[in-house]
Amino acid sequence: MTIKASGQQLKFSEIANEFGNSGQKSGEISLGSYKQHKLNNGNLSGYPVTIGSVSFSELAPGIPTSGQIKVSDFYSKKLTFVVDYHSFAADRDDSPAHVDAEVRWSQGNNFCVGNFRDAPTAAGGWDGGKKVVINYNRRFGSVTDNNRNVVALRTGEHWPNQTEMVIEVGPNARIFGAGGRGGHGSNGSGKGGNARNGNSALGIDIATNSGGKSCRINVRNGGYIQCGFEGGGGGGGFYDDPNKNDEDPVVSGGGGGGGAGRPAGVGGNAGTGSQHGPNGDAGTNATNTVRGLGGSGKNGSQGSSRSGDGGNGADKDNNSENGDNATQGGGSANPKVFGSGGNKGLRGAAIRRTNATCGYALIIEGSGRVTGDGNPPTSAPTGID
Amino acid sequence: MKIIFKVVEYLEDTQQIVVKFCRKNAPKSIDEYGAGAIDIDRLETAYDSQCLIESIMKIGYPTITKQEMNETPLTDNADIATIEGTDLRDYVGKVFESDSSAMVDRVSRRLRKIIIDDDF
Repeated sequence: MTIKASGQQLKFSEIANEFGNSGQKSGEISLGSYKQHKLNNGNLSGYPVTIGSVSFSELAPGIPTSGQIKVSDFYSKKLTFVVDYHSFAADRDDSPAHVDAEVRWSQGNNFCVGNFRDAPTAAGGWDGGKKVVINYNRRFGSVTDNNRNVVALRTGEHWPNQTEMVIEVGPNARIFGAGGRGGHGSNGSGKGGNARNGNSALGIDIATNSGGKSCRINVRNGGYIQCGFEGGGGGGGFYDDPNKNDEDPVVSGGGGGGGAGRPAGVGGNAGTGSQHGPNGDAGTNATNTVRGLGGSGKNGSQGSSRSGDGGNGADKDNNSENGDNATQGGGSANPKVFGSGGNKGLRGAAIRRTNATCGYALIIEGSGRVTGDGNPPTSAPTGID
Repeated sequence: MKIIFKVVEYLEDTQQIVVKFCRKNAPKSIDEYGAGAIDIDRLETAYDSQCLIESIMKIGYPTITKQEMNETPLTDNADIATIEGTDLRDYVGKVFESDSSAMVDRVSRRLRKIIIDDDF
């Protein structure tokens, strides 16, 4: 705790050092003022105060908001500040500048409870410990990348010792991993293309096994964290030689559907290189929350062989699919080549950890949702990029 | 087979629709099937409703064929018997299966006799 425990003499200057000067003049403190918080115009107002989506009912737990206030009320108390992820929405696809909460903190994007001081922006001002609230309350997306370790947002790893971190996922928060692209339809009679992986939403890289650090995630009613879902595989093509026909069709397969996420997974390209028949259709693009569909395979101009359909991408209600193999028709007595479908991708996570030293507690209110690995915390995979 | 679809969402920002597909005689409500997203620029919106509906159906068709393949049959329908003989008394009370695509204008027959014609 920042302020020492009871049993020792406590100075006003130690209280001011932790919570800021509350007096009317610079360098002064007024104990009574700590019962209220300071508005930006300098006036005082009673608690509760809301910063972003988080409501605070007092300067620190146990400090009175009315009646008598004593120096002894401040024993073992510490400053709380909020790192601002509630005033803007952003995607890593557009810029990585906001991704790391530790960077935003050190750059001063913070609001202190009480508003009597600025938050410390370096370990030197930590004075034994602070409560850090990272308040996500807008939409945040990741960046399209096949690497499942890539995340939309991360805590940062170099927080000072004695950091009590609380991640508040507010009612308007939507945090997504990126969806994986669908596999391309085959080139001619070849194999369907493999789909790409989804990646991840939130990375916990604060080490909590030492230094008195902790991390808790509160997902409030309406708050939403979703992994990036994988794409579906592309369909295989065929080259057939139907009996009694001079035309030997080469027909490509369909593209796979994209996986849900932000950015959404795009559908795999239509097949290419068909002769005496159409190319397979392209897969469709996913949305943030709904999968894309696999494109249709096709028949050739002769015979009844068929190229493979692309596999559907994945979302929270549906698993992804491999692309279909091309199939030999009943009238095909002299088959040549039947390509196999491409593989579906792999799924990202809702919450990942850098390694086993990074633990967290997860509390989800009624309509809050955490979709994907990381819920429960024991299912969180390791590795963050 | 008749297929049906239901547009469950229109996403103006991304110019997509979210659609559910199933067979008209599916064993459960269309609302219980998974949805898929379709970009509006993949659809025939320039003509009439029939063209639009067919263009949506065309994209959903592979999904419906997979539903048909993957749906689990009722327990009573899944216990398929195998019999070598043709005595119909042995067939009574048992369930048999065959692929419907093989039933179109043809029936399998077994060869009983082959005559080799020397004059050919």
